[in-house]
Amino acid sequence: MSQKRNPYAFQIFRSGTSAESRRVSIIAFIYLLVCGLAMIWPIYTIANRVYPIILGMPFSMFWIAFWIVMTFIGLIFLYRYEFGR
Amino acid sequence: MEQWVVVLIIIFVYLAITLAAGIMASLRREFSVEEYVAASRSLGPVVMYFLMGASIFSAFAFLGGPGWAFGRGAASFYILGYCALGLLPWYIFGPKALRLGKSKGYVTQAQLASDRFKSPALSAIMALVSVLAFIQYITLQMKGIAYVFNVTTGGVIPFWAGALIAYGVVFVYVFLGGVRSVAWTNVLQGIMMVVLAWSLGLYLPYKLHGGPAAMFQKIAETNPGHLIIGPEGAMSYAAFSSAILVSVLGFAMWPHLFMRAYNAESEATLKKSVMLYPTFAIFMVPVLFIGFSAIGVVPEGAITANDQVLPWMVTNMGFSPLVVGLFAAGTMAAAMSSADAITHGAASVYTIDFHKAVLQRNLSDKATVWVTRIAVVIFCSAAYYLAIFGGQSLVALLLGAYGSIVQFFPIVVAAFYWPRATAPGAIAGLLGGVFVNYAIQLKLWTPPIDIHSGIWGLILNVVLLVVVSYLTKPMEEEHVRSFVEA
Repeated sequence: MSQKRNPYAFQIFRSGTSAESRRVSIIAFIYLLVCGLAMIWPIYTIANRVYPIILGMPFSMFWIAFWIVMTFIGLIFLYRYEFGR
Repeated sequence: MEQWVVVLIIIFVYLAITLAAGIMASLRREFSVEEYVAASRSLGPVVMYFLMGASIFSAFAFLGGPGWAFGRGAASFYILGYCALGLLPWYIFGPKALRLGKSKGYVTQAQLASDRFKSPALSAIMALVSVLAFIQYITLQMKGIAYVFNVTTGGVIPFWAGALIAYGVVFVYVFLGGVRSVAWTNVLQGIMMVVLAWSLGLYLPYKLHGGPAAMFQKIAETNPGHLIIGPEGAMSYAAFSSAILVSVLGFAMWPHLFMRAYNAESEATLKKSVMLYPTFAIFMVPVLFIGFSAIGVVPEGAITANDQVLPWMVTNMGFSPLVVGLFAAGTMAAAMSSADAITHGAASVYTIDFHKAVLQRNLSDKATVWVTRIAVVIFCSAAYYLAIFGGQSLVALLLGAYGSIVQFFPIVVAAFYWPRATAPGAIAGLLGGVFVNYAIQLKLWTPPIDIHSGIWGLILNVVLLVVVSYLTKPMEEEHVRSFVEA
């Protein structure tokens, strides 16, 4: 930590952000990234079919709805972690 | 009673309640700029939730949404992805914008950008793009309102009058109460929309097809390509994926959404409204069901545009006037709750980022609120004119701006995370991105692959931002670091 940082370098976290909070941010970011990537090419190609019809939706639609719910659940955990009850 | 009388009564009851809520929110308040534009940074989680959600549930929810499902099938799934993911970047940027707003007194997006880059020119360019995009947005809402008003009353209320009446109500409460009135009416409108979406979205598939599963089964047998993406499907993978990507990057860049960071009372409130946002995507599922349920039911040639599919069903399938009236009121609620936020956003952006930044630097606080109100009048009138009389030559200009909002993304990221970025870099990037978008919009350039025009713009935007920044002198260290450390 002793070497002088370039003050103009790209910087994601504020100085003094704890290691734990950096770790949680990175995990949350990766989790939400997965939720997003699941809805687009190329991952979406595995879900892009009509059957099986689940909860009244063709699989291609159910898949997206499923990842919306996963996004929501992830956000609930993240929020609760940050702000407690 | 004749059908149109019942419908009209329901619409007017709805309008009266909305007006009352809007006016009540405006009572007994001293109007500073901070109150009129940012509700004094005091809104709590419930109001914030509806205020944010209302921008998804625009006229699009009951006209465009079902229209996409009906006409373009699986392509409409992109709307779900858009709603679910659109605000995620805000979980990261929002608190930063909020903290900077508090410490430096910003109430708009371009204020932050122009202060970071010390460039009134940047503020003026952003304001110009935003205002043009906003006018397009308001025009769409007015057209939606006018259309629904007209069809559900069996043509008794002409186009020009429908838009005038509904928009008159919006105008009054935005003019009087600013964002607080917008917020409170949005709670009311939000509840109406959700109830309407779920009741129609479940009722129609059951009544017409015996349930969603049977409905999709039928569609799959007659037209399997309608329910999938890809070369044999409703939209190419590239177009589908890039549309979702652009919405994730661009959604929170809409100035009226960005400004929400200055309305929230705390970081926790802001993050909570982002956390709850995917629930709006779940509300869009029944809206798409509505569109799919029309397949095989609405005869060919019955409607001239896909957007008319739900109004056609509601008015032609023997529903009681009560349902027709509630549908009309619900659609108007959806359109008005976006229109008010946008009208307010456009007026605030013009006043603060253009008028005050470029024309009259030393405007008093009181005068600023009045300039904002006058801007409300002007933008309402302009959108009304466009909605009723068209104005084809302007449409391309407006559509280009509409698609250019995502080009703010690199500026915001640079302001928050990249101290080396300079004003010439930011301006060059923004202009480059907007230029590409217009070139594609006006068909001057046809991209080699079917990827959303916003992505092409972003590529040039980022390259210019980085290259020009490195070619110019870095800005003062302490100043730029205060943004990274905020």
